[in-house]
Amino acid sequence: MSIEAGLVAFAALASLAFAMRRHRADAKVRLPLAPCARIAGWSLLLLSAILAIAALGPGFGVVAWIGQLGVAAVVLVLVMSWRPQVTPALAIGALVLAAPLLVL
Amino acid sequence: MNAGVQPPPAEPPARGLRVSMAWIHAWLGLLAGWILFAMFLTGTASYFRPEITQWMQPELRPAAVPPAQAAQAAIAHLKATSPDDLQWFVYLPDERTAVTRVFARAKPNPDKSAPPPKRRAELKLAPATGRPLEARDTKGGEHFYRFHFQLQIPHPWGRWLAGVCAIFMLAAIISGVVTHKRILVDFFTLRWGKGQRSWLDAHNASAVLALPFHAMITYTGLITLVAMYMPWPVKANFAKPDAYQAAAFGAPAEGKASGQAAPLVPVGPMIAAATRAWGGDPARTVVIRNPSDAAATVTLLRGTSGRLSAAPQQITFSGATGRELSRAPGAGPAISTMGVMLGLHVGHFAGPVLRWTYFLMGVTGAAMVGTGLVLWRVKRTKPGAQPFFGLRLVERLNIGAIACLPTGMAAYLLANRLIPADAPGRADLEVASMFWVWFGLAALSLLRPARRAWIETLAIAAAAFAAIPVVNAVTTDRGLLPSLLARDWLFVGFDAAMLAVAALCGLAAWRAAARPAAASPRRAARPAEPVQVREDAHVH
Repeated sequence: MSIEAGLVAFAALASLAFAMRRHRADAKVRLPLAPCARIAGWSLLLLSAILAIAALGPGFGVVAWIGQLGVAAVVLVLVMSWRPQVTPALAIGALVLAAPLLVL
Repeated sequence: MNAGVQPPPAEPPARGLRVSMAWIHAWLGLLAGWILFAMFLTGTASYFRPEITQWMQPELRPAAVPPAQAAQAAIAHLKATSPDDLQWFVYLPDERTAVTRVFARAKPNPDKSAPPPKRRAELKLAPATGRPLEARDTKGGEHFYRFHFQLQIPHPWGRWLAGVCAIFMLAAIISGVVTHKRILVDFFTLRWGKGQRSWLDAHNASAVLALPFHAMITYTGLITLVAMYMPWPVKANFAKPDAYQAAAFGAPAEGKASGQAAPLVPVGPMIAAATRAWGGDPARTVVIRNPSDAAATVTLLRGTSGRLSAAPQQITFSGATGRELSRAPGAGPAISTMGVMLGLHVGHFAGPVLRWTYFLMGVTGAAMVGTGLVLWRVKRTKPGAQPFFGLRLVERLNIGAIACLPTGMAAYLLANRLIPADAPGRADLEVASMFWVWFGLAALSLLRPARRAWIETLAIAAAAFAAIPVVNAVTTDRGLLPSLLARDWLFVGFDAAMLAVAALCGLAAWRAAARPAAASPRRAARPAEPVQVREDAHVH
């Protein structure tokens, strides 16, 4: 596994952020309804954990997942504070980028 | 908006808890903050300890060989130079260390009254040939690593101080979580250019988003040295520290020499057997006792890369027959726990991706401590009032720690390239230049007004880091372009990392310069900002 857990976690956290009223307005694009975004966010978060643990086993998997989750969160918050309107596109881009890594 | 109305008084116990936790958080964080910032920064750099060491000896470019061949070559060298020693230590190269290191310990003098034999220096050998390598003398990445928990203070005080700071940090993490009322509401919130609000946001974000890492790294760091901080359980149960070491980690081969000479059999088959026993993980260290004797023992130690636990594992073979004599028993729950704690902290198990993850989390930790220190000062600055002595002191210490230490670290790396390779005592000169530049710059910054001092010291840090690739290209033949052509990713990556750090320091200087000279009038113009009222509990 390289960074696909982190990429999925980035999309997951972005979904969760856009489920919050405070951040919805920043996106400047039509977003899924807040409950949908929230469900998508938690599902993706679960998926990223499964990816990490499936690839590396429970020990390394949890360490790698928590680490990549943290980095993804820091990157997300920096991006959202700087250019919130690009965040949805970046989140989708992260998922697209993660897909080929999963196949490999 | 009921701006003028006080929020209803909360229930006394809850409020009391939160206020006292805020007090603990602010004061413990402040007292330990400057040292913690330095510990975070040097500790984060230490995730690349072998890489920094390689970069700091650019004349070394040995070819990689299999461990068994490196071990045999090193042993051939030791046989030729010191056949009658008590013990040989051979540290084999791996994917991150390019050279073999050997260290030979002489037999104790039979005449007890004579002074003990002089400790020999460690040697670097070419893995393929076993020939000694000549390279500039340097402490390399080891310096940042040692400073991270010894703080360049005589033993044991540095470790004690680091431990006290780790305890403060742990208390600050717990009290900070209790104090932070809006963890979930503010989870993704970071607002720039709003004075104190922005510092609080940045402090919260860097703390909360990496909270599992911060808690893990602080706790495991403290636990790593727990046997030193709390020696009494070991003292009560073991007569000698050696007895504890033997019971905990498997008896080291302390065999006596038989007096009968016997040649040492090749270690290649032993290394192959150990690699099989460890599921493909190669041995990292070979310890040979009584090398030219019939009772010679060869102990192989497993490396810690690729497994979470850093607890040692070893197998001992007979040096005369090559037969396996003993292997350390499987680690019990206590040793396993300790090994995993240490492993989690130092991250030797990590491959490149996880190592960079650790690195970025460490940078986030430094950002958390740094923003916390700045926030402490910003929060207590009264608009328009002359800051009192304590505030000015904190401000100056903040500049000295946050803005001047990076320049000191850059100076350490620059000194490695600028001090002549054959200068006597150059390893210590490199270390000294870090501290002279760090504290010298901090002292010089006193001459400037605080705001200018921030901007200028950060700009100097940016310039110092940007200078590293340039100086490297001028003083060695391993600059960015030749390294790119040779696909030498370590040197390319190092230059790229230095430029990235320079950009980060430059960005910080630019933001410091862009900051409104007095954020206070803006705040005074909006006294009823609800956020400020809500954060009152934080201001103590």
